Amino acid sequence: MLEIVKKDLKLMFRERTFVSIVFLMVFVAGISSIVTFGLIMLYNPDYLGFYGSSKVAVAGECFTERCYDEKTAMELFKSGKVDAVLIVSDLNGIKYVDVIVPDDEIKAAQVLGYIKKLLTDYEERLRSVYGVPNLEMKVYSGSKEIEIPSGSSTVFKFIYLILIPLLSITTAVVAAGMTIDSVCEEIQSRSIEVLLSTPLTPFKISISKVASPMIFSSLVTALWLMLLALNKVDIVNPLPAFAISISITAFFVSAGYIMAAKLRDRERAQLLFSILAAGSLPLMVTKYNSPAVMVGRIAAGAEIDFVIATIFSVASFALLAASPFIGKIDRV
Amino acid sequence: MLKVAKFEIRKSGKRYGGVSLLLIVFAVAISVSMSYASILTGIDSDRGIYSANIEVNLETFTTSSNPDLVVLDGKIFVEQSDKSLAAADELLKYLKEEHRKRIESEFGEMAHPVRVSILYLEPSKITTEEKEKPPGTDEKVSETVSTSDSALETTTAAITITTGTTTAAAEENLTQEQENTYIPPEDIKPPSLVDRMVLAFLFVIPSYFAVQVFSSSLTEDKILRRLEVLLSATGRSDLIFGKMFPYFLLSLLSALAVSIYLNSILAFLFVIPVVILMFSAQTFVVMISRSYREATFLLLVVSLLITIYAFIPAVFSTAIPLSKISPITLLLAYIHGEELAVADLALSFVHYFIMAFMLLYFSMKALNPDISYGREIFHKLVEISRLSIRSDYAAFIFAFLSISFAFMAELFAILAVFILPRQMMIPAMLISIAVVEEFIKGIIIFSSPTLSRAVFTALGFFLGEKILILFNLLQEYSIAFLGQFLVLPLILHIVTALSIALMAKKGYRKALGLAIALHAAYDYAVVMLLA
Repeated sequence: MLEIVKKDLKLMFRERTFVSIVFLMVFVAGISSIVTFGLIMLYNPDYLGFYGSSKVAVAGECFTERCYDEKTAMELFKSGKVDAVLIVSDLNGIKYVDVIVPDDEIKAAQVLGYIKKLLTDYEERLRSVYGVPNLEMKVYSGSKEIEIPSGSSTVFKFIYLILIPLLSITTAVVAAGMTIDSVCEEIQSRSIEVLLSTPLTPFKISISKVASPMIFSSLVTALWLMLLALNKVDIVNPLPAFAISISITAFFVSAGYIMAAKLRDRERAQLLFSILAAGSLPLMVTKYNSPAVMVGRIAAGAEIDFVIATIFSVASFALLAASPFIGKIDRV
Repeated sequence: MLKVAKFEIRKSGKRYGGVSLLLIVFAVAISVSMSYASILTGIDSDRGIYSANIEVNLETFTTSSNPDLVVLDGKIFVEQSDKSLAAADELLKYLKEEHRKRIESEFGEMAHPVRVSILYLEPSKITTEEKEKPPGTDEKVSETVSTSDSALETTTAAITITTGTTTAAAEENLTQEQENTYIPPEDIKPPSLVDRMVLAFLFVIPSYFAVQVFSSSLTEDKILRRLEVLLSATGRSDLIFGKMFPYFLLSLLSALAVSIYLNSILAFLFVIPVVILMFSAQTFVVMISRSYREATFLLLVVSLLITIYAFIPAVFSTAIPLSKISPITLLLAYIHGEELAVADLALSFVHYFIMAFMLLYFSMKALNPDISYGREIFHKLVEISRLSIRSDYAAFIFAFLSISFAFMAELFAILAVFILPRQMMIPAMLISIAVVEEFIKGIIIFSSPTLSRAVFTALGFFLGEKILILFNLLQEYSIAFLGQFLVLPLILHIVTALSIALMAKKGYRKALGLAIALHAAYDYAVVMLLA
């Protein structure tokens, strides 16, 4: 029985499966961080301390140094000497600002980040004049006052509630795909007949077919947890995180095995599996009690429902152990 | 071709008939309801993720004896950990919102002494006549502020608001309208694309399943050696196109359905390049992989790469002009009703089609037992190159066309080096560019490592590169691509190509290694000189 596990594992490494999967993981991680970076850059430019050096012309009520009359301001805008025109008019003490920005998403996004900061400061100054309190909440680290970059929470949630669950799910999906492939390959190429003619029982063959993807994905899971830690992402509880992640894999591998053994055909089993996996993805990354989310939460050191986590893990491994009985691979 | 297509439909029909079809319909139904359930129930994955010493009226906070942050005497105390800082950010955001509600109820209007209305205007379209126009009715003006897309009308609006508000009646009118159109400055948001991204995914997702069924079926036929039997009865192109046709049609129909649903009928056209590239890349992968296992992984990697290549630029469409390279960016712009430039359309579609065409061409050449069942992927690539490129002119043309692949690979390199520390970015970038370019040139030259082939390859590649620069595509990155010089890169390409040809006898890897080292050293030297 160990021989089959060894053979399957050896094949995985020889066919660069391991390399491609690591590549895949690094890529998923890399790309997702770029996407967040991109989104943050667009929505919270101050997170990166990036205000750009936009030039604006102010007309009407003057509140900065660069003030012009309306006509000149528009001409400066037209000739491209300023990136935006702010026309300020006063109505009962409230300043109405018409912001004119270029009809070009790229420039507009850059200049709007700057204008937002400019006008928020102006608003705070006016509030103090009118006796409207501004929010004075200082943040200290030790005895030192610090500035919290806005967007920190978004990044944090992204890493622990999206990236880690996704890595966990990717590992599980890949392991299940491998199970389906290796079961169907034996059936479709009829090498199962050869295996069955050896002293191995169908049960042992089935067990070894689910064992190799499990070993493989344990390695991969340990690897990405380590890579995250190397990238200065704190993994507060590595062992529970690993355990829950492996339970997800166990669940997926059992599902893949059962589909493959029942359908006895790679094409249909893979299609069925991917439809179900894709459909459950939204639930798996959005729910408090989703095991994939639990992996991220426990890694972040946040509370999880341990009862549900334990029930899920036990049930997954029970299903894995039972799967050779649910779907038997025997003679074609 | 139609015969093969019919055969394929019959084959799939048998496989997915009866019980299997029911099973799949059932699975789709479950999937759809699961997705729907997740939309209905919303996101609660962040419930109680942070902790504080006091009760915070926020879903994301719990109380804890070992909290992420401590609130004391109106001050927030944090530790220097990501979680603690993130918690503080979340709390501050909440406090700002609460503060805003409080001052709004207490001070009403005066809570927001600054109100903003944003007008998007094309500077070149502003005319002075418009500005001198006497103020019209403010009602009309305010309407245009809130709804108009037209530059001219908004100009009138912008100007008349500021000049025409002298009478009390007008003031009243204006304030009323301003409630809707003027926002506090903290609410300013740059144009958002996320919703439209979801839309774009709707177009492509069904095609993914069609592509998966196609590649599974092709892999099966290849591994069970049915392709060889079929080849004795029909031509290579008929075989591949015939097998692809039914699935391609299915993808098109699904995209068309989404287009009709979204009421912009032509939108599905933008998906075609992506889908065709997906089909041809998967065909190629099936041809060069030996087993199901290998195929599964390579297929996964390839689909991921193409998805990223198509979608990531769309995320950045507000930030970098380069994003127009993706048909998805253009699709989103089209749905949004923006005008599209013919040059952008041509460039983005054509380079996808070139890649698809080349992959299909190579796949046909790869339909041979040596390649199908050989060992090393690298040697398979060299073998395919040998079969495809039979003359120096062909080498020139392929080198020229392969610039699309180089471009794609280099875009990935840009994305990948992004996550590195700042001081490593430029060297990593230069090395990856050297690897990509020399690898592509090398594969072409190995088809027959002669000096003339090397020169033709270098020329073709150089020409392709210059054409890209002509499109102003790489302007922003010209430092990295060293695009501003003409003669030097030409010499570089020829020198490295020649070295590949000369060294090929000593082993392909050594030859590539040397060329990459030369290329990287050259790039590094030039960047250092420039900097």
